[in-house]
Amino acid sequence: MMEETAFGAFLAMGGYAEFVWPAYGVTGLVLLAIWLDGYRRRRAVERALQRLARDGSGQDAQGRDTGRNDA
Amino acid sequence: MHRFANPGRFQRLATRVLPWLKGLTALSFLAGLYLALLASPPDYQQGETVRIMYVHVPAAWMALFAYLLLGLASASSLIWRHPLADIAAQALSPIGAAFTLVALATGSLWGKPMWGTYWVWDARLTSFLLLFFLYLGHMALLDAFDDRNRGRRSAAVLALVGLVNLPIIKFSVDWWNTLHQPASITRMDGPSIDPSMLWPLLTMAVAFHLFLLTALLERMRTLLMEARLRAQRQARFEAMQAEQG
Repeated sequence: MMEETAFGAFLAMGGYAEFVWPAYGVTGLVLLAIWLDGYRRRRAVERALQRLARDGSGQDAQGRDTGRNDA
Repeated sequence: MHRFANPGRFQRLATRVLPWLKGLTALSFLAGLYLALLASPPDYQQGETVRIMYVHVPAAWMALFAYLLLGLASASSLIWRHPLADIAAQALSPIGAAFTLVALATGSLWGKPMWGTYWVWDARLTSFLLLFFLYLGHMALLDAFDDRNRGRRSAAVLALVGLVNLPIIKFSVDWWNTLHQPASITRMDGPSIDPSMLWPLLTMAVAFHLFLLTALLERMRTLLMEARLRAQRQARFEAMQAEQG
């Protein structure tokens, strides 16, 4: 019971929950988004390089055309 | 030949240190969150809203630091045409824009309970919003031309011109009457902040620095691989044309 109250107080942030938690939420979301974007780009180029080394089709794993220089 | 040797060495180095950097970043964020949310006291004036500072201030520092690096990379790109400098500049602007967005959003969420408004057009906030648009402009210019080198040069010039904004941001709280409080850490007479709040702030600052470094190296590595992919496609294309012609 005591822990629940302490946790409730923690969540309430002294009445400023509606400002403190969104601040941490938006920080986490934006940093996660920038990291995910970088990760996805790296995976995409790694796959394209592998594919080019294999058969030179110039397409990524989903079969989309990825290169403007391909014939 | 050194033009290619350096990116190659960078690539190997980045591949080796990145797993460690990622681990360190995660650990320091955990430590920072523990100190910021659990182990530190509320402020006697600001109450629990002071906890917003532990993400707001490091994000703002990183937004400025990333722009300083962007300016340095742009200068080296224009003067010495170093390929890694170009790549660094290209990698920096989305990361810097992200930190600027975090600083603006968390500042707004701190402003509402403390100042009674999410936004005011005062010197600090307006110059910081300009920083965000400088980052966006840099990203847009890089993609704006068919000739990649033209895009890179225009973006570098914009980044250098935008450097003027950095001292304006830094001293805006001293030069103009603003709602924003003046610096409490980087003062001539030492930080005017209690150790119980300085530690979570510094730990978070370490975490944000590590995140910046990790994201930068990761993006630079990706951009180098993209350049390699373009070169290989070009070579293949030319070989095919030679066959046909």
